Amino acid sequence: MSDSNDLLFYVGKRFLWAVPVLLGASFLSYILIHLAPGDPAQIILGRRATQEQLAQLRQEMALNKPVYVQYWRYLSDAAVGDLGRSYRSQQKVATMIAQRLPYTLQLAVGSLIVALGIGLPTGIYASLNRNEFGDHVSRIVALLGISIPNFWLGLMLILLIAVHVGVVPIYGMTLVTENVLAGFLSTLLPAVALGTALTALIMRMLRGSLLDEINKGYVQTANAYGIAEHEIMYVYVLKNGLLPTITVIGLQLGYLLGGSVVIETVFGIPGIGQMTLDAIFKQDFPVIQGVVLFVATVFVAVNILVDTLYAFLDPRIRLGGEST
Amino acid sequence: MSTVTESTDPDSDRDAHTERDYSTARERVLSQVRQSPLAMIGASIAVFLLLLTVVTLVDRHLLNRTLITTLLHDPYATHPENRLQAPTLVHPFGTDEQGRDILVRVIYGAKTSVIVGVLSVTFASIVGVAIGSVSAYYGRIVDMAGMRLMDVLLSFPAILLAIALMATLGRGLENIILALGVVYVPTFARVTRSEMLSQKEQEYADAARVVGYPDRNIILKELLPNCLTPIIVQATFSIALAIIAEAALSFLGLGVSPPTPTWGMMLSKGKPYITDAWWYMLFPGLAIMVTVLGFNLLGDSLRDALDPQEQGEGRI
Amino acid sequence: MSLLNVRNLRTHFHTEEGTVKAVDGVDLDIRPGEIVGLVGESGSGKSVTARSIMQLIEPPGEIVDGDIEFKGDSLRALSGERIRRLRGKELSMVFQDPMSAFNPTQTVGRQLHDVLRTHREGPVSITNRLLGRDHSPEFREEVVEALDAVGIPSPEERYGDYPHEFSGGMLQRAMVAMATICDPDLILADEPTTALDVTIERQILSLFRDLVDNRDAAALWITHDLSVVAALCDRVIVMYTGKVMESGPVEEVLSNPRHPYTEELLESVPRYDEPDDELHAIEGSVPMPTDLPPGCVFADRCPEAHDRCREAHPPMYANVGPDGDHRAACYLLEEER
Repeated sequence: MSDSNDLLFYVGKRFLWAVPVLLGASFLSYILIHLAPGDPAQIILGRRATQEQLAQLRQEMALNKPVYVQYWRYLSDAAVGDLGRSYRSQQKVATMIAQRLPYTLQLAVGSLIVALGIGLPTGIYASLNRNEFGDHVSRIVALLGISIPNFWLGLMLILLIAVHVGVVPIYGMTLVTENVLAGFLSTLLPAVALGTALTALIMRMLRGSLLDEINKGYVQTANAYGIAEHEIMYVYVLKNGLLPTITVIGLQLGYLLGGSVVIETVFGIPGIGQMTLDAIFKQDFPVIQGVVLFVATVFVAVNILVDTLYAFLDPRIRLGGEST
Repeated sequence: MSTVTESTDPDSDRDAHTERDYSTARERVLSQVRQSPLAMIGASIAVFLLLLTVVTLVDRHLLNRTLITTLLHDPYATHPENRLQAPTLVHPFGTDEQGRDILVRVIYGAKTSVIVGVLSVTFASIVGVAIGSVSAYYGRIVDMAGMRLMDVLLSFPAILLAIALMATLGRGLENIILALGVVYVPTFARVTRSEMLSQKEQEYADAARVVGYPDRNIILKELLPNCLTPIIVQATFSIALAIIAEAALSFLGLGVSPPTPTWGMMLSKGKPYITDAWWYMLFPGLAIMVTVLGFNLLGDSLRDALDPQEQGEGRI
Repeated sequence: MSLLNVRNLRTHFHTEEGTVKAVDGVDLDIRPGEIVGLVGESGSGKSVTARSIMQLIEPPGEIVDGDIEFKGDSLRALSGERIRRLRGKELSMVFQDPMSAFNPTQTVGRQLHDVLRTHREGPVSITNRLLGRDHSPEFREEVVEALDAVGIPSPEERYGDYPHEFSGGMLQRAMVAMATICDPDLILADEPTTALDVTIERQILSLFRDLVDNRDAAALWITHDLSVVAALCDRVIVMYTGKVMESGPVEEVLSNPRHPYTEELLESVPRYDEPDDELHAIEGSVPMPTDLPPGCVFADRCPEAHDRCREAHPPMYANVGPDGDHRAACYLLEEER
């Protein structure tokens, strides 16, 4: 069917787009970190290092070469997975990321589950019961949801739960791969804290786009031709209304990854976010650089995935080629 | 579902006016805002905070804090003997670990949040609108280049990008404003580009070109004024986001340096005492939430009044 | 025996600016096998009339009065489920803009298939529908035949095409196919050719005529174009701001109009065989729907208006012409008797 050819073509186009964006992102992050104040040799060797030691290390690390040379070296190493070594611990950055990734991932996935699990049904409900009491309540709740800072929500949750110590852990995180129940409980509070804003966003967006769809001509036509109401709602309206929300959800993965920096700090979760913050205060540039590059790559990949999903669901995109 | 009436000429809704009718748009907004109680609340909160910012700025820099000290307490004076007191009539929000009154520190904290919010969004909107307009108007390569650049910025999560920028720029108020400004540029670029692309197709744009108007004038005087509504709505929402972002940065320790109290910093300072001093956690956070809520309410009502087609909400 | 009998239909819209009486006391009746034209300017209430018949009026609109009898049943009294079963099967509607009438994310064939399936087998569960289990090759055959019958080339391939892959004319044909696939007794067509080129329009008109004749159906054709009425319709009804001004057999009304409004409309059509005429326009403009005058709604613009016309809206006078069922609502007709 020509449909799958169109889809492949579209995916190909997206990949082509991704390459310059990733290159640009890596370059931007490299420049930023490079311009940050602090002498790498000094940071590694500490305050007691002598001038000769510093000079020798600088030579070894090629710190005297021009920026683009250093950048190229970094990029070619990164392409094969070598993100350098931490200035402070000498550990391989790639390893450090891999060690901590499961925790951040668990947090992100947990938040996504919370957001979709609450946001989707509520958004649908609100659009079906427009302007009734339930709708008003959900709209106000959603408004509050996007107005609460996630770290404060986390703190408030800790405050509430701390009164009844022991029910749910308020610090640290167990991976579900080690212990399902403990993992679930330890992720509960942080996931709610991080996921609330996303839940609210989904509720609002879904309600809006579903209401938009309901007012469109084809709904009236389907009605005029006797198609059953539930069929119109769930097959026609929901599918079309979900599309813009899907794109937004994909974009918000970035929010989840960024928000993890704060939430991991609040809840003491040993994830990538906390590692990054640590690195900032300790001027551990390779770590910062590595994380930023990693996150950007993941983000771009997710974007391509989401766009492909969108094109799969909406034939106008893969055939017409409207760019965002 | 049915139209109200067919009495209007089918073409009149699609008329391209040279300029949107400003007086009626303003009137429409004002009347809508006046009618909706939520909108009134949002507008009042925003206005109140702006006033508070101005007053506290004057008090801090010109009056050397005399106003607030006389009315309530001195936000900087430490009284170790009063540390961590629960809320009382004298200290309605309690005191912190150095015995300072939390209410006045919350009041003083407002100005940082508002200034960062408003200024960073101002920066982001000017730069973003410029990039978006140029991309939309000249199209093709310029558009591709502009939007790829925006995509590069967008490939970083907002907080992460802000943190990276601040690592380079260092701490301080101006740097926070610049960092957050850069983070929100792509949002404005996209909104402007999207709106301008559709305005560009309207006949009045062709008319302007036909009479030989220079490009710069067409963009600035003809197209841009008609793109303003979604930009204004977006700006309001972005201010709300920026305020949360500034609080997060302060909370992480990357904000403005002490002794200036900021809401995020107060939360971070208070975290060790979370179980002993619940008021330390509650009030600064509540202040952030109410402020952000105010701007979000305002944004919602502006959008309902001005922009029937709901646009995206920007990056969290 | 009438297929459709509408008596005293009143459909009002309650808006902030006031109540709009979009349809205010309309009688119409359609017999099997005939095509009735419903003519009027924008704002005359013709579209709302059709929607009222289909029971598609939603708040702030409301049918406040009137009887709508279709094949003996009062449509206003029927339950939602009975109406649903009628729609698309016995009574169907062709919409003005096919591009917005079709779901952009489903193929045209699928959408016609769904209409057919709904009326042959009834509604299906959501899961089955989403998994595509409700799709039947027999129905697909019928849809392809229907697309062929309306003159869409390569109907087999076109079945799997999306709405935006069709041209306006082709998509409107598909819409006509959808309206006729279940063999309805009455088809309401709401300005289906207004947005199309004249040549395409002619094709659709003749297609429509053939379909109606072959199936012994009836149709209500809504338009503002008198030449279409002349070419297609057996009878015509002229509306103005929610009321019927004149009705009767087409040749009769067009050659011997008895209402000043109809006369004015006919005058306004530019004639190529009288090149020296100035272009005629009806004086004045359509009144604000929330602010209708107390007397005859056309009085302000009528060249023959007199005092009596401003007191109350005239009743409908029957048999104002030699042939058949010619009626008009004008006081002048009373004076003639």
